[in-house]
Amino acid sequence: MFEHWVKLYQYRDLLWLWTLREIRVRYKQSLLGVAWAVLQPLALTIIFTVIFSYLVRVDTDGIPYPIFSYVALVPWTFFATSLNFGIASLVNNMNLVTKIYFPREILPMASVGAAFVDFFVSAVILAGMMLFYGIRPGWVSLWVVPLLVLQIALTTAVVLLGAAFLVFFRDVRFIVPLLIQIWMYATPIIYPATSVPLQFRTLYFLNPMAGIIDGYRRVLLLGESLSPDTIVPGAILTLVLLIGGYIFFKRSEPVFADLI
Amino acid sequence: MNILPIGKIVFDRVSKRYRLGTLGTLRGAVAALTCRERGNDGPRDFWALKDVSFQIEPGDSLGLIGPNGAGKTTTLKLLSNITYPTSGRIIVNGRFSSLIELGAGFHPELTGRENIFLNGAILGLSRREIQRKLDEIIAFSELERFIDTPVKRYSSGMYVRLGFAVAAHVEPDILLVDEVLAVGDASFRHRCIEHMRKLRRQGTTIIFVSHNMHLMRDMCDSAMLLVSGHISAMGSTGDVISEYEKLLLTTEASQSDLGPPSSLSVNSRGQIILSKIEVLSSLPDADTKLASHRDATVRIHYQTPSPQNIGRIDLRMMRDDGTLCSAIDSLGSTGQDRRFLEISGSGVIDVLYRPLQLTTGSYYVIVRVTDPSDSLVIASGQSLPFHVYEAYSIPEPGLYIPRVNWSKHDLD
Repeated sequence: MFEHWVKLYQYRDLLWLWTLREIRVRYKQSLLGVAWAVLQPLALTIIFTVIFSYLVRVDTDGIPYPIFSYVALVPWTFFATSLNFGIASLVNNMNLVTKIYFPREILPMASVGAAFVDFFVSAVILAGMMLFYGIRPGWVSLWVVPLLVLQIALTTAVVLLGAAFLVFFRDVRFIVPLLIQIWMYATPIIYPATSVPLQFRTLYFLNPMAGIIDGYRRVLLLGESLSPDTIVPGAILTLVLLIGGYIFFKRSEPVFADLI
Repeated sequence: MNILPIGKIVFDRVSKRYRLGTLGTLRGAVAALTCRERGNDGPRDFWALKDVSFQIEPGDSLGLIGPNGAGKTTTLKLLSNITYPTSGRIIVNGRFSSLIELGAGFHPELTGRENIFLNGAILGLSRREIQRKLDEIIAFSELERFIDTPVKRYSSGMYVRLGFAVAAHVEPDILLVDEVLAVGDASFRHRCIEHMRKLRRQGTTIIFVSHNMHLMRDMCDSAMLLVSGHISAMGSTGDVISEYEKLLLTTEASQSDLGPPSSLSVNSRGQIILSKIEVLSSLPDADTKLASHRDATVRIHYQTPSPQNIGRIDLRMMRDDGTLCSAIDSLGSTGQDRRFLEISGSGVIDVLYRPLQLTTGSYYVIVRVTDPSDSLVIASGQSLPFHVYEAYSIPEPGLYIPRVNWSKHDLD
């Protein structure tokens, strides 16, 4: 295990350059360029606002619906984009995997890194929006840092697992979009976590993304601190997934080039 | 673990199994599992290498020779950590570079400069190292004017040049070369070879895979002959090459007994079908070896349902590395020799080479038939490779052995 980390460290420049490549390539020759990073969550915010604050009323604990959904959609888009690109990254770079050696986890990790840049850009818009709605976050909003770390850990775990699985079973390619959609409904994005019936809460917060998204909302919009029962179960599961996912990835790495 | 000197390679009883028919889908996996439970044949196994052991000392250059599918590429992939042995041990110490995949990871949308960094990092260079060598790499690629242009605007030659420029600056302890010399023009090939020579002088360990025996002789001290995953011969390059040539002769003899005509690449756009092209020894004892100093016949088998007018029959003798050795056509030296204006039914056309005159090596023949206006190829075909040996025990360099008379005149 230790030598894997030494290798990854030796190839850290590749991780950086491949992340840059992912970003550059994604927006080359597109008219709006990196504005797409903002447009994606913004468009969904508008749609959800029209549907869930005009057509069907969703109770948002008194928060204006646009910022209620945007604060959730920004990190969610980061998660979904990472999955979309990261899981396919090994198979999409088949030519490289079958011909040159480098630590393979660099490819999925770079996809997460590139999606993080998008996330950062749309988070700037979030700050502007909060200003507009007169929301002044206090010290409690510093919780976003551990929340973000937890989210990146979860994303990396799922992406590593998914990318390795896709090498074995191309079915994964069809499962991913469906999984993202189901996962989105299992996460408090269009509705508040408080609308989940109490008897299902424990089960509900086993989904790490539920605690994370709910957490962003609490610390940024409501000025509340995190409650452990929404975060801890998901955090433990994330840790298990990350360790398990990494081991599974490195165990299957030797056969990637043979199977891909 | 690695207490080996840098540049040394050890293969210790290495085997590599590939599963044919991989578990590409869940259905496949389920099918494979149920098959195994029923005791039927599971996915068929294929041993690309079986129990292969050898050592290469730092600074040696080893040629890997063998027919297609013998395990040459698998050996290189195992060496460069792309794939792992099923059993056995591989111990290697030193930095690798391969002239296998030039421009790996190039993205067409990125500029030449951006791709240099990316490709360099993939080959294991740090950003600082690339930065330091950047000017050198750009100068070496001779692409100064286009270095900030996306590589999608590059010609294939420019693309390979850039890839090679990066690969050439890795300063490896071990260099792997696999048939790259097949791409690019003559001047590019020349630079590749010069680069290999330079590294060899600097003491880099080189493993060279090629079907070009002329180059192999030139580049390698020793060679290893792989046949279906086993080491069949190992030793000095010259000896191993002659082993290989012997092997080709015997397998070809057995092939020509069984070989259906469809194994030849024969095609036809018109009504004429060149069903088979053979190269025959002039000796009646059915010897499949062709001697350079003896006569040889190229026999073209043709079929046509209706009489056809043709313009010309063109016959080219090619060496296995694609070098054109000779070209003749049915019009003869004057261009007026209209011998075969009409072809009908089926039959053979024999072309007698007196004598063959080619040097030791592997060759093939390409035949083309044109239409009466001599502007369209209406049928073409290619022979199986054939092998030529020389009467002299030491093979001569060059393309052919001229028939000469020596004479001496004293001017006095």
